[in-house]
Amino acid sequence: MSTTPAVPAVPATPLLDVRDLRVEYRSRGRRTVAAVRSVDLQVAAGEVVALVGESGSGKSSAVRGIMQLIRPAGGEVRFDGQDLTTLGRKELRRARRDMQMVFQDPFSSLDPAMTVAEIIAEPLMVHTDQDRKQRRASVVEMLELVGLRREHADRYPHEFSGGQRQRIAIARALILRPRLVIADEAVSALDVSSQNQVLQLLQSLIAELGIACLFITHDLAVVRSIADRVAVMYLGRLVEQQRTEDLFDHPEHPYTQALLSAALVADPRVQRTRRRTRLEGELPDPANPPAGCVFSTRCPLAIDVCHEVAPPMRPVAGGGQAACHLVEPA
Amino acid sequence: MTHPTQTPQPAPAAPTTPSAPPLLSVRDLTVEFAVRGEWNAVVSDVSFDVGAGQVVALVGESGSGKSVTCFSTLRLIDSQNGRISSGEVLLNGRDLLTLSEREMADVRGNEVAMIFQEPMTSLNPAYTVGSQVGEVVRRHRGADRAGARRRAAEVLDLVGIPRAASRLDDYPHQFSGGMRQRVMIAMALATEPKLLIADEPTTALDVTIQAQVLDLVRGFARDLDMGVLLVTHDLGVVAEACDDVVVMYAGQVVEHAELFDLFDRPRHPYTSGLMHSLPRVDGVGGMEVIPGSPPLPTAFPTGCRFGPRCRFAEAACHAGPIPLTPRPSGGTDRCRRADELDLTPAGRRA
Repeated sequence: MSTTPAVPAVPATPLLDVRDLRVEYRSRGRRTVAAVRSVDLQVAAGEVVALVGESGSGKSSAVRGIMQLIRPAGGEVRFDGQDLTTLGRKELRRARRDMQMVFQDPFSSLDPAMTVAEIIAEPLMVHTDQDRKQRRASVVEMLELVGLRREHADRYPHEFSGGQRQRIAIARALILRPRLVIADEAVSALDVSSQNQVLQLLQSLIAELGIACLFITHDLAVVRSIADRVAVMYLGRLVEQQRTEDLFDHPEHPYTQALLSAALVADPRVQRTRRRTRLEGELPDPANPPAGCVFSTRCPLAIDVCHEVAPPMRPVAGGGQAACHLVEPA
Repeated sequence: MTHPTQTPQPAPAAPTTPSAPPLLSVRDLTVEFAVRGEWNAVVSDVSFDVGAGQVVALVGESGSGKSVTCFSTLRLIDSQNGRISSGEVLLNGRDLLTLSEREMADVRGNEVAMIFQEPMTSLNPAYTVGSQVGEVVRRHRGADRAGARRRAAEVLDLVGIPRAASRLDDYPHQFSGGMRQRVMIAMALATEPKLLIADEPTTALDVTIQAQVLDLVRGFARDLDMGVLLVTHDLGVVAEACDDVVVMYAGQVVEHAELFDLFDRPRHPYTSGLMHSLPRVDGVGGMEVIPGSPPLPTAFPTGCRFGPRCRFAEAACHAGPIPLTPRPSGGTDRCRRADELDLTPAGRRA
């Protein structure tokens, strides 16, 4: 790349710095399933990073590990320099003030018994000593910011559409002006027209307020429009990360290439002339991952070494990284 | 084993109006649902055809009436709250709406099969996959137990389940999501139906698996000359797999055209809005937003139903119902300004 990148491929002083994260589940006390194995991920202040993967990739487990909703089996999760994995419950609660979440399902993530005002004000109750009047003013301000009206404050979640509920969830997540928002498939459950409304809202608010965002999704088209940088997960491991432009222009890892080519373009003249790397088979059982490269069982390019040795993440041209034996290191 | 392949170029799109009488012809279908004792039309005067070998998309957002339309063609709506109040559903010229329940049960699964979005909830977790696929064959084909089992293995193999014969005694939970959807397709295809109705068949699947399932559906349409009605909200799926497109909004057909014609020259502002509102993986689009949200059946506008959200609406658009009119290039649209508006995407203008 000859041009000076606006976004460094790896931020020098990350706001969120995840090193060697491992998340494990124990099934019926016997077997341990490693859902996330050795993930390194950084998010700089104000940066939007997309974590992309299909079901079973471990992306949601990674989020749980980062937020300490499940205690990681290993690794560090530094937020603003502080390792969250070492914090006790009380300290963790304080740290979470600056990192808020927006979940996928706006139907189950909002308490049906609370009014919209109570839902949005909840973080203020937990983290600030604002009085009733101040909280009400903050709620009204947030409602307007997310495109709802002040008279919506005293209604209940069931009175709203999916898109409106997701606006409420965004209002709750942003009311404390956190430094990081983690959005887990935040627009995936929405209808076409509300999906774009909510996406553009989230995008403009985090830009306006200078909030960093870790955006978890399976949808590459959404990634292209919102993210500065993209990390791709497969079977518990990161296989590639690059600046968004670079990833879409020249995906390095065969899995990223397959994922990009499988995404459908809503235009038959484009879609029906696209080259497609067709993947056969399905994701291996995470409890029983293949030896060597995690993608080797489905990789159209795999050679002997791929089935034996797990490739490390290595730098590629443009400043990103990929974990593939066949990728030319930069 | 894995190997890269290139998608073959599709044959030229199927004609919008097949010359033989269509396999399925839905005529002026109106379906009503009761809300607090009041009957509301959730689907109004919907008409379209599906020819043999043709894949027709029924596109819309939730509440557009697309799923009600597809369930109604098989008379699978709850008779307590819903009723088909007028119209015809002609399968090879025979009106399904006039059949007895018994005759209808014969049609379902035999001449017409259906696959649903969520394969886990559509398969019975208590029975093996082989017995569920076999049951369909026995019921509709009168095969004996051994014959049904053989046929089950055959169709499971046909839909690409590895070592199909050895998996007949496995239960649904032992299959992954993509494999369960294949089992559903195998069940639907076991009796070689003439028509397949697929309601969001790939929505719950990962993209790499979605591609495999769409290939299957398209391949069967081509090889078995099977008609497919594919219900979806995803224009990417439409672009990849369909020949003809019916766009629904607020219970009505707003535009109906051959695939390439629709994308080259959308004539309804809702169609055009859908095309441009979502970001695409090739970096085109995603900048346009359709404001507001679709109306509920209890509050459909009296004029153009899309009018309140349409940036081209003028006073006359709100005055009364907008009729469906023929498109110059074939098909229909429901916009009174269609002739004067140029909604051709920027990249398509000469």
